Amino acid sequence: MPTIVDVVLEVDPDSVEVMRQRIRAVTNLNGALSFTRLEQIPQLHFMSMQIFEDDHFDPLFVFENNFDGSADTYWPGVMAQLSDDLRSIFACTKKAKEGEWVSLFQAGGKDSLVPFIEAHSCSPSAQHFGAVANSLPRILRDRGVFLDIQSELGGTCSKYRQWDAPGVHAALRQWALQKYKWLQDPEKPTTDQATSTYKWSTVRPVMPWLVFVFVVIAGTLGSYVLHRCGILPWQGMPSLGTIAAFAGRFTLTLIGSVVVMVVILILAAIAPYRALRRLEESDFSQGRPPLTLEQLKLFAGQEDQIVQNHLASMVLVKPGMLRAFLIRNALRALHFAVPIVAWDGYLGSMRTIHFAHWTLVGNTGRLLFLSNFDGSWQSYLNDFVDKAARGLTLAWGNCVGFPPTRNLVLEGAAHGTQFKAWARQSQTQNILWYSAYTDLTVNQIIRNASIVDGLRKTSMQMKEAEQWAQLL
Amino acid sequence: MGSAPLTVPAATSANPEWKPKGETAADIQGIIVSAYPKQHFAMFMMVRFPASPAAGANGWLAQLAPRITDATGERDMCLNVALSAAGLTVLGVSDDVKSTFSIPFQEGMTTDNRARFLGDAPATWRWSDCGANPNCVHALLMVYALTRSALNSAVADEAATLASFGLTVAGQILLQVNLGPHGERREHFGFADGISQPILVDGNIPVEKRALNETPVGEVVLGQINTYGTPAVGPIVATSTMAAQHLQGAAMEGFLDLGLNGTYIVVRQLKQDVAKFWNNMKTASADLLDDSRKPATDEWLAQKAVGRTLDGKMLNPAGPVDGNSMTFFASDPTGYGCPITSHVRRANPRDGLAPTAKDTQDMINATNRHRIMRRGRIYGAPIANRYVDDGDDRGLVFVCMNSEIERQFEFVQHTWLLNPMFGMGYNESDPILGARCPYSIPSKPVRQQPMIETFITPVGGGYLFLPSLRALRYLGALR
Repeated sequence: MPTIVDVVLEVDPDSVEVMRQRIRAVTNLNGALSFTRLEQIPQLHFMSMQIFEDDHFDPLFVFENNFDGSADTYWPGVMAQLSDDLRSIFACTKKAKEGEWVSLFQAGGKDSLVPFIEAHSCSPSAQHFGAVANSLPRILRDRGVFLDIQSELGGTCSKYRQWDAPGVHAALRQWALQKYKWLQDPEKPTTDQATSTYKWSTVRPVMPWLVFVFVVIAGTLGSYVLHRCGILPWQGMPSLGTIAAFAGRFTLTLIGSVVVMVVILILAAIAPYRALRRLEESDFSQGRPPLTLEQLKLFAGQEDQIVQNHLASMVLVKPGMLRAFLIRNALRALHFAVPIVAWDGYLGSMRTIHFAHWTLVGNTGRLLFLSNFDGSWQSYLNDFVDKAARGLTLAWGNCVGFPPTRNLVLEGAAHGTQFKAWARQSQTQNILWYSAYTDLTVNQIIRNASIVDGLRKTSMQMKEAEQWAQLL
Repeated sequence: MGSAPLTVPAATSANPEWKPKGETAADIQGIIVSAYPKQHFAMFMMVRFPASPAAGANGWLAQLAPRITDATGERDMCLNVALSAAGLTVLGVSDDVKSTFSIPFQEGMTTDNRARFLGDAPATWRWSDCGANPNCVHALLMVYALTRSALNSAVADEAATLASFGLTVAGQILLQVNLGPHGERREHFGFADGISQPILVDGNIPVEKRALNETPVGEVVLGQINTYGTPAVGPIVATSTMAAQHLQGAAMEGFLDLGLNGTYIVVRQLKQDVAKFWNNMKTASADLLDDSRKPATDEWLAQKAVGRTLDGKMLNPAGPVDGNSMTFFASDPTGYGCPITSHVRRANPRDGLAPTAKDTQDMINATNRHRIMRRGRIYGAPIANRYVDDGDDRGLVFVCMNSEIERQFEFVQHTWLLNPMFGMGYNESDPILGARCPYSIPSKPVRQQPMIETFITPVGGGYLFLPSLRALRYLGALR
């Protein structure tokens, strides 16, 4: 399972420029951009560092980490490469000057930074993964297999085109087994196992509670109904007439109880719903977020260098108890629902996000959004508008300046032009951004993995083989 | 590719096509609503304004405005004009007003970031919209005529008028029409072109009631309702007595609408190397098998690269399909007919990228948010022998109109045409427009992947503003 952790720290305002330089130094090798050290971190998919500056707050440093497995196994690998850099970067934060941490950042300090990192780590409020079954070693391994197959097939596929699809599979498997002995062993975990683990990852921890609540409700309701119907199980087998009468009364009572419960729920929801609608109609929004040519040039200069792009955004949460309640629960709902509905990487019909997450920071006063996605900013934001507007509106609709919403999920992001300008304005440039596979989209990762999964199969029937051959 | 249709099979349409009426028809430049199908002869005149004194440019626009072809009816001779951001500066448009124009238009096509995004190398271009380029175009005068002699005399008249205002013609491109055996317009490689076009309809028609190619008029015409259900945002100017004589009120209090009934026009001069194309098709197809598993021909490969037959029919596993109303998901999901990364599928994927059948309508709706109205034509004479390079300069002047350059033209160019990972591609590009790369042709039992060379090189281009007649009169009166 992939994991996302942000380290979020307030920056000493006087040290912002120093911090910026130290972050840049992480990837600077003799004046050129170099990711060699980051490539040595065995679980790391994407990493970013940025400083959010805001007129109302001291600058905020956000260190984004998207990796395989748990934080316990990840941080030692990071420390082996970046310990000195991180020590000098963290030294620019306000926390580094506070009581217990001061000694960590004194000149020549060598104590582990991990406790400091753990103390200031945030887990996402809601997150999404594109290729959840694919660990970094597997992604890199499968890319190698894909490229080798492309060379083996060549432009004309002359060695393979005399076969039918199952024959192509068999011949390619035979060729691949010579090269990759590991294809004879089963994948651990298999794609299906890894996907299934993820799919139920948010439900599994609360399952005992759900069962408990269900049993209590069903038990209470059942006893009540039996009692109302005058049937007591310990009084022996009732007659057929009694059973028929009981069944009639039971059905009526059950329907009555459900109706009463629904009515109570509706009545209870009316007041909060009306309060929400009042807010939605009276909240201030930002019709034309100011964007200067200079800002846009900076983003354009940074974007579209590889097949993926990065987006880092921070917005203020709207004030008031209802909004605070709504945003926490909207993100909680997304946290639970995303693995169940988007386990295959598709949000609606879009599968372009590798790792994305929302995190409430600053005592839930600000909402951070970080995303590592395929294609251009324009195509990503258009996908949001066209294919995932409701989910986005649910998460971002409680934030300051967001386009007007209706019933939490309607309108909002569907105001395309306005939403895109709002999103752009909320963004900050990353100072460091690293991708472990600059040439792979989510679709390509899954395509490569499916090819390898197919190669492990000893034989294929025609239909399956044809579908597999289409991936080559 | 992008020349306009002459004889296009009628696309399935559920709603009447948008036609400007009354004042709007008299305010809108004719090229927006017509490709001038009868005017086979055209000249693009690249006009350069002197840096100072610049009043000549305003005077020229003022006298030009009454002669500009509007949308009220057919004319024998058609005249339209568009301006670059650098041109607006010379005309005296203030920085405040310029900042209300679309950002790509303000920046121009050739900035470093944009060139990288569009896959261009504009350092050697013959002309552009960049103010720093010595061959910067300030205005593009588009002249269309029924005969070559009528065109020659109109161009001579326009050149004389320009000279009388102290303006120079930095360059001219003579546009041709090359008709195929069925009267269809063909580009230099020999393919029928300009078949896929959006059909503009009233922007208030909800998306679920629009047919496949129907697109809200605001996707092309500024100030009209666009795909998001709001008026397409164009430039505005602060209200003044002079401006109020020409322009209508804008949605914002205190401003007048400079963009209303105008559009942004994208022009790219694309040089085509016809002999290189056909020779590459010949060598690259040498060891391939066609759909019936016989040795492939150069025409088979060329048609697979374009995605249509030479006479314009869409490739399909069941045989070529006429017209522009075909979708891909149901009849050709895997691209055995029309390859997924072929030119036409990249340029307009319709529902072809939908992951499941239930996503097809959403995918069509999303695709239709990136439509462009094309008005391109070829330049240079057709080649005599397509395998022998005669050294002539020929190609296509791609022209398209859209109200949001980033979401329409640039999206099509970057996210679809040149996207290395489009569809099932891995480090591929558009087989016609893109740079040298392997091209995957879905085949049975397994894909074929010839190496496709570079045949098309942009040699000039720019983002221009095609103003309404009112806006033109206002700009003429600025100094």
